[in-house]
Amino acid sequence: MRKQLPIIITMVVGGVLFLTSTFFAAEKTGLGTNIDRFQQLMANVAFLIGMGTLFRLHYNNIRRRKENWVFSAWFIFAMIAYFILGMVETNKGKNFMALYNGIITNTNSTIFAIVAYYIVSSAYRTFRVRSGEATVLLLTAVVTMLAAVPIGEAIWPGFASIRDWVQSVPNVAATRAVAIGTFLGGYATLLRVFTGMERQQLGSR
Amino acid sequence: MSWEKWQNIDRRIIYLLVTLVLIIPIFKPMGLPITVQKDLTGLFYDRFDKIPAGSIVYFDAAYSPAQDAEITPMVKALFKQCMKNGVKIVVGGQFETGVPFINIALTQVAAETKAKYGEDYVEIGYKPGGVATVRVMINDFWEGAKSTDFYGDSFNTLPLMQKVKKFDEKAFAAIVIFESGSPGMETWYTYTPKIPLYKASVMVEVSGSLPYLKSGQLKGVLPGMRGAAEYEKLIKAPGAATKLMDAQSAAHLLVILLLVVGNVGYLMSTRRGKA
Amino acid sequence: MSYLFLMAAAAAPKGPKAGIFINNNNVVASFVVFVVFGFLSFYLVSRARSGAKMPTIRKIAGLEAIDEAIGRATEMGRPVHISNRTGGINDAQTFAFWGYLGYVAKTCARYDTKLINTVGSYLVQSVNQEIIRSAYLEVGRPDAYNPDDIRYYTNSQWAFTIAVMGMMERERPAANLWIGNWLAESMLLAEVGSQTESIQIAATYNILQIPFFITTCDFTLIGEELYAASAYLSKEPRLTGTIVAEDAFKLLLGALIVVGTVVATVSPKAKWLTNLVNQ
Repeated sequence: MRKQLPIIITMVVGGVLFLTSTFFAAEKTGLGTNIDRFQQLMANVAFLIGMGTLFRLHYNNIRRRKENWVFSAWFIFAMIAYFILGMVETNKGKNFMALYNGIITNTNSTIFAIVAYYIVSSAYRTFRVRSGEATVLLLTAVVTMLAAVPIGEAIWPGFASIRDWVQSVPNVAATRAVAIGTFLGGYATLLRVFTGMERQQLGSR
Repeated sequence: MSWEKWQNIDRRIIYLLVTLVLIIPIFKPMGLPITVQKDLTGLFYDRFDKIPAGSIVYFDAAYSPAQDAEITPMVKALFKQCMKNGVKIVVGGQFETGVPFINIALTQVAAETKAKYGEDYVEIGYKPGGVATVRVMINDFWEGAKSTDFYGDSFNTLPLMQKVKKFDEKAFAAIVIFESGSPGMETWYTYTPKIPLYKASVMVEVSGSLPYLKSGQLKGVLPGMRGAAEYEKLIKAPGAATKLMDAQSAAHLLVILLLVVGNVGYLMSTRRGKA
Repeated sequence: MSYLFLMAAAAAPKGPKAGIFINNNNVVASFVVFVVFGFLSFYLVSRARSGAKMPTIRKIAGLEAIDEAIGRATEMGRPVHISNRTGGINDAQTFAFWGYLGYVAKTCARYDTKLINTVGSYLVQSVNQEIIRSAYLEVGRPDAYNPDDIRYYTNSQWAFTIAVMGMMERERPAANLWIGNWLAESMLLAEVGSQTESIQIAATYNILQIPFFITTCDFTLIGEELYAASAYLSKEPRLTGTIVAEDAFKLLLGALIVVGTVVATVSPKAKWLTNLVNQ
């Protein structure tokens, strides 16, 4: 029963959503909208579950004095303090927003900026003209990079037309092919879940 | 000098070079001319500019603060264009981190353009629940958005929100998604296919968007910082993106230079190996 | 992918289409896809069940390399790391990820190799714990199971990225498996993985990130290969049936594309085919 019940729930909810989003009569029952409302409600509840789970995990780290438990203590302090500040000040509050803008924005931007360094370094290490295909790839990359910035057009305006062709013909063809394959793969996976063939999520097969 | 060395420049030297080529042009700009890409930025501008005064467009902040440099100039440029054309804006967001962040950009640009909150634009804030919430909003915008804006005020106090009852093509003339990842445009072309969808995204997303532009599911694509700079040129309000284009030019040249160095090293060393 | 099932949940103020369908674009087309694909899968799975000869799935190098990567980690005494950040509890990519996780967990348990799983959703984390625990039980090593190695860092993109990068520097996994939909963090994670000299296998359907993985990983699985893993790794004929159904459906779509191209070339103004597909 432990394994059957989740499969039955999946089938029933999936079936209802399919019917209500396809057939006029089923849609009129409003069942689909009610499932959406329930999902919206659960998304809010999930925040509380998340806070609870995190609190329990880090509280245990502190209680058992696990390695780096000080960070767990700091985490609990920050979570509760920011939660209270948000409740008191709301988004209108200067301190609440200043903490967000001052910390999250800057740390995020800093980490994202590392991408630039890594892209340059890994492109330099891996892009080699080892074969005919690799040479075509390299030349395309160079033309696209030049066409993407003003200096490329200053060197030769023709880069832009080559880039346009690459982007709108071979690129679109490849993107569509991968998209079709991905869609079918995802669809088949969901169908396996839907029919209970895929049950990895319930523990072992 | 051995050719192997050409292929194995120390990572730290590369990092230093990247830093230099990005910083120097900001202080010493070259002022290279920016041409508008007709099939992307030009198309976006032409179509978006035709939205009649008094219409409402929806801005979706589907990005995280990390993409500030690329996205914020687009947010500001489009906001200015809307205010100039008398178009109203409702701002929401699929990314919880994007919503407080777009608020900073909007507060700044609203002060510049003297836009009135509640009448010219409204920020509804982040609404959890993903596509389920969007589907509720399609039937009843107020219910889905819990009738409160970003600041916690009721929609009843905001004149603009009285015109928005359902998330449909009657209420909104367009959706502009500022996108840096997932969940992104698929939400809109799936659930609100009748509302014209425009995408202003980070550069890396652009190649994946072109099939949708060709199929008509997207009405316009604004490509990254280059697109923002071109848009600033079109609305005649040069801003942050225009200033940063030279740095981007220099960085691209550096990558190409390193590719040449690495490959010359590779070719010479393989030739010597064969000899 | 659940989009397809839910494609037309928008309100339908007009009357029904063809008497029964919701009056929205693509509803009939979605229904036809559902019926045809469902029928193909049912037929081919039934054939597989009855023991009929099924086509074999071609060799996928990236999946073959999983055993090799775990073996190498075992020899070096370093952990194996498998990760998925963006998958929610109801995403197709997460179900695909679980196919990999079950296999990798069992292999690691058998070789007594430490398995680290990093995850960006706390709901998915609890399922992952259950899968890994079951895998260890199945190979008779429940004592080796350590729930602390299944780590939810955060769902915030860059905080997750920096946490995993730090973990890779400290614990130096000998194999990294990046499974699912990755965004801009792909470059950072895989580059650090390459700096820590690990074997890396990526599987993603995000076409925008494929170039980054190709430059930094040893093997990259593209698009539908991601989803084929559970059938491929389990070698279960029933699951193979659905993969064959995928290919059969792909042939049908290919035929439709050819017809569309011919129609668009012969009479560029004809809209009947587009209208039919948009029904």
